[in-house]
Parts: sequence; structure tokens; C-alpha cells
Amino acid sequence: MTVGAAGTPVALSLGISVPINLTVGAIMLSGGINLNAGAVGVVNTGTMVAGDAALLTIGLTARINTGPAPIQVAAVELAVAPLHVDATSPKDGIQCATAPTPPPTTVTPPTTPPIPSGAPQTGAGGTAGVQEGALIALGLVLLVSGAGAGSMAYRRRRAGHAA
Amino acid sequence: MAGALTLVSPAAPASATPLATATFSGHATSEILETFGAVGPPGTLAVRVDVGPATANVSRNASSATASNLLAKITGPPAINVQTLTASAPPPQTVGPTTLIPIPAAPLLDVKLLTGQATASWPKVGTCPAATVPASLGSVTTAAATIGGLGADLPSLIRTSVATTQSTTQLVSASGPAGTDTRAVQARATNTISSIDLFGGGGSGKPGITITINKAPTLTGLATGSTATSKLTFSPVGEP
Repeated sequence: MTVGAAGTPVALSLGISVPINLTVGAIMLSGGINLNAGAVGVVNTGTMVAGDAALLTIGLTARINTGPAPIQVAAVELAVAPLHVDATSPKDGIQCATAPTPPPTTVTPPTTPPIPSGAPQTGAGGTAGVQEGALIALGLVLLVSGAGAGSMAYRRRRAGHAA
Repeated sequence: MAGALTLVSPAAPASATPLATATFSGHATSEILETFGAVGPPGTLAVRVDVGPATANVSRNASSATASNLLAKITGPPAINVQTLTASAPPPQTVGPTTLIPIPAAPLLDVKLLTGQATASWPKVGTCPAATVPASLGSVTTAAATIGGLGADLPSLIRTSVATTQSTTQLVSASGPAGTDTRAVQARATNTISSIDLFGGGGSGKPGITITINKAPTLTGLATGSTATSKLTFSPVGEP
């Protein structure tokens, strides 16, 4: 911020206050000019925030000099760019919308007995799971090869009859 | 082993209050000038005059804004409202920009070329405005405002440059659980005034003072519902 008095800018610091005390005849003028650096009346509770600010404030009081107890005849308070804000919020804010939550995912495993994954606590053999799986696989191979062999024999018989 | 295995997606903690039940508010006011004068001993007669007030408000499912050329209040009678533009939502509404009636109080108070605009943007009940759009906005622009110009040979007490006052409220994005649209209430008031002449202004041998403002003063209040993140800031006016 600069002040150009008689065409010469001079840097001012915020928060500066210039007192005014003038006497014109029987009238006494007193007050000041304030360049305000911060907000006033600040409240911040987390759920409520409020405050006021003004760029510049001027206060002037005119009194008639009637002796030891001057009489106030007028007073002026002026604020340039007065600003006020206040805001309240519920704790932790407002939930405007929620992204769709996928429904709970349920996985139901087959009802067949589970295959042991480890060796039994006692007794010989630590590959029971592997053995059962190998047996099932072997059975499937035999079934398929048996069916294939039967099918081949049936075809040969049919071919023989046809010939 | 159990007969069924249930996998449930971890639910986000519902800490923020849903809009349907949330209680909140935001208010912002900004003016070109605010004057308070008293004649006689204290308590006798007082006059308050607000030049170019712009307001913005928001609450659950509603927002509103106003832009006025003058509000005056004399001790006793109700306030004198010369002209006010008002917008309210839902549905969204914009009034202006409109040239406001000049204030007929020269030479004591002379305000030139007032323009006002009021916008309210709350879309509909149950739906928040976008986080990047003000829920309400009031704005007044004036070419110049002079107080105390009592005569051609007497300097005015104060004269302002072109200035725009603007008040906004906004539901801005805030940190919250993943997958939620968490908002905080922001109220902001600003004034783009660039210079002030006191006692006739300075320069060219004039006895007064001219103050140049380098950056628009802005007051922002942000209520998040948490003391750690709620704040009130008055932007630095800025050194040269």
C-alpha cells in the first residue's frame, strides 16, 4: 500500500494508525485513520467461523470547546471496503452424495469335504491330499480311455458287419 | 471349515452429515462504504448508511443473494432501502447485471454508475451445487463514491475509485472418506477498490492523501466441522 502525498508515494505498513487532533475555533476534532491489517471479532470453533474486516476506517468526533468538559456535537465513523463472513458446518462436514457402494460379495464354496492342505498330525503318509486328487484324476483318465476303447471296438464291429 | 465365506467391502466411515439432515449456513456481506454518523450527544440521533452492499447466503437446500445501491437506517424508523436486486434458489436464478438507481444524496453522498447482480445457484432440494460454483453471489460495481463533498471549494472527506464488491457462498470440496462427496461451507467477501482519496486526494500539490491499494482485500471463512481445518483468513492487502 502506498500513500501519495504531494505526488510522492510513501510505503505504509498495514496496521498503521494516524491520529487526528485539530482545533478550529471552538470546534475540536479528534479521531484517527486506521489501515487495518487483520480481521476483528474472529470466531473459529471448527463448526463455526466468523469475522469482520475493513480496509480502512476513519473515526472523527467533533466537540465544542466549552471549557473543561467539551460537548460532543457530532461523530462520524467510516469504513472503506467493510467485509463480513460467517459460516457454520456440521461436525466433519456435509456429505452431499455417496458413490454407489457395491453390494456385499458372498462366496459359497462347494459342499464337498475340504481337501487337507497339510500332513496329518499322526500316522504315516503326508500326501493324503495329493493321493486323493491323483486318484480322482486317474479315475477320470480311465473312464475316458475306457469309453474311447469301447467306442473304437463298437466301430470296428460295425465296420466288420458292413463288410 | 464354515459352510459359507462372506467377503464384505470395507465401508467408509460415515463421519460427515448427510445433506438431508445437515444443518449449516454461510453468509457474506461486502460494501463499498459504510458510514455511521451521530448528531448531538451520544444517543440523540444516529444515521447509518451502507453504500453498495452485496450479500450472499446459503443453507440446506437454499441459497440467495442481494445487490443494493444503498441501505440507510436512521434511529427509529425502519431502514430505507432504495433498490435491491434479489435472487433465490432453487431453482437457480440470476438477476442482472442491472444499472441501479443513482443515490440522490449529492453533494453529501455522491455515488456514480452503480451496477448490481445477484445469482443463486442451489439446483434443487436434496442436491448440492457443484463444488466449484458459488451457491450464491451478490455483486455491486460503482464508478466512484464520494462522501462529504460539501462544496466546490471544499475537499471531500473521502472518494473511492472504481470498485466492485462481491460476496459469495460455496460448498467447497473437503477431505472425507473415500467415495463420498464431502463439502465444507465457505463464505467470502471481497472488494476490488484500487485507490482512496482522503481530504481531496494527494498529488499535484493537493493537501490530501491518496492511498493506492495493490491487492483486493478479501475475507474468507471456511467451516469444515473440524478445528484443524476450519479457518478465517483476511488476505494481505500487499506491500508495494
